[in-house]
Amino acid sequence: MRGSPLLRALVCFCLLLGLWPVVRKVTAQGEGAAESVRGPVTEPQNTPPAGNVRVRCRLELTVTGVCRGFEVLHLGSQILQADRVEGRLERELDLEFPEEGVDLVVGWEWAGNKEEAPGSGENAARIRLWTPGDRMEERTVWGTGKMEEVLSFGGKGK
Amino acid sequence: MPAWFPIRFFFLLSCFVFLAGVGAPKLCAAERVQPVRVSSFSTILTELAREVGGDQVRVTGHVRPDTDPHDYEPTPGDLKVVGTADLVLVSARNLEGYVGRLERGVVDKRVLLAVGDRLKAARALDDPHWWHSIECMKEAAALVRDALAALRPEARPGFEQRAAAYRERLQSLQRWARTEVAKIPKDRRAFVTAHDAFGWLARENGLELIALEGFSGGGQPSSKKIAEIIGRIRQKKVRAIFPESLDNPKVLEQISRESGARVGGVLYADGLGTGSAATYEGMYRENVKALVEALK
Ligand SMILES: [Zn+2]
Repeated sequence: MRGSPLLRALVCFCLLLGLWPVVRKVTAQGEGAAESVRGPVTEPQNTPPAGNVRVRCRLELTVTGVCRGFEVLHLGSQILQADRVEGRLERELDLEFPEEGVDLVVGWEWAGNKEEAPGSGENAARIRLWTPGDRMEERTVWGTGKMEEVLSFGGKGK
Repeated sequence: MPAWFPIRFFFLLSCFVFLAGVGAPKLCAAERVQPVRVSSFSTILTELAREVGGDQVRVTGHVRPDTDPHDYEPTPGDLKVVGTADLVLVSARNLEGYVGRLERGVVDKRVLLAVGDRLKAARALDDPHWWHSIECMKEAAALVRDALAALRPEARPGFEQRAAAYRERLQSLQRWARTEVAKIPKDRRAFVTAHDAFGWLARENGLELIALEGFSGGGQPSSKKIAEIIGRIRQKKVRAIFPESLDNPKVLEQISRESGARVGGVLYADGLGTGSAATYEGMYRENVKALVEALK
């Protein structure tokens, strides 16, 4: 580049002055873009985890004999208890119901004067659970005396 | 000589003759039923042989509790005992790399029982840690019972009785474990361990295992593998990772820091431990308790 150093400095100054509005515009857009990225990051924190949603389920128990004590545990806590069941029992329950389903631990104690099931000498209990979306699932358990079973409801592939 | 002496003499003599007559067959029976000498290369099988065999067996446990069976090498002393054993028990399914050498050390190959290779229930997985399956344990108890009974047919009723009692205990352990695992919400049942030893436990209890290393473990996972595991922990929202009783927990601690999953209690992966984990039932309970406590 030819010319005196003073002239060169003057040309550079004029060029920068002319470009100033463009530089301002680009910087402002960059700041705005950074803000729009920061915004949505905080949003998912307000969304509750899917597994913690409680839903109302209807549970129906039907027994062949006299059940002297019946209880249902969910995640280690008792959610239903009855001292004596004869025939049928129906309850509404609020359960945490992840899409993987739930495991209910069901405990029974059968009374001595049991009505015998055909050919087995055992009592039967049928549990029906109406899960979210009004989908009904049914499990049947046979046994005598005191018993405990883990019954799975809901979940994929069922 | 007092008048009563002959009476006393004959009384003592007849007592002696009677006792000798009663004692003799017993002595012969004891001579016939020698305890079966069992050499075991698995802490689990050592317990099984003692439980099923009772006082009809004399078991030498070559692999001690809290020893890594993947790295164990038989000593010349072990091979000497194996040479005199009536029955040699190995875990098999490629857990012990020295089975071939043992076979050469055993005079009659029929006395070597590779329990894991004979289990029908174990065919579903390649995993050599079959004892974490209670179904496999029930089958293993039956295999040991039949092997002992083949060697001592006269003691079969005792073996059968003890094997049935052991099976009952396994069944109640299985019921207890299922009830315990039901305390964990079904969307929180994934867990991470150092090596792939708990596939059976996960499968039988509705859990999901993510293992840092393969079936043998012992190596140093690559940084790529660690990054992959951290990704899976975040994706599946895994709550806890578990160190093993025989492993260095440093890598797991690093993964815990980076992924946010907490470090749970120690798991017994490769056999029996000491204290509360010195029996199969104790070991299994300790593992289930550690999992439930950290994941529920
Ligand atoms: Zn292992």
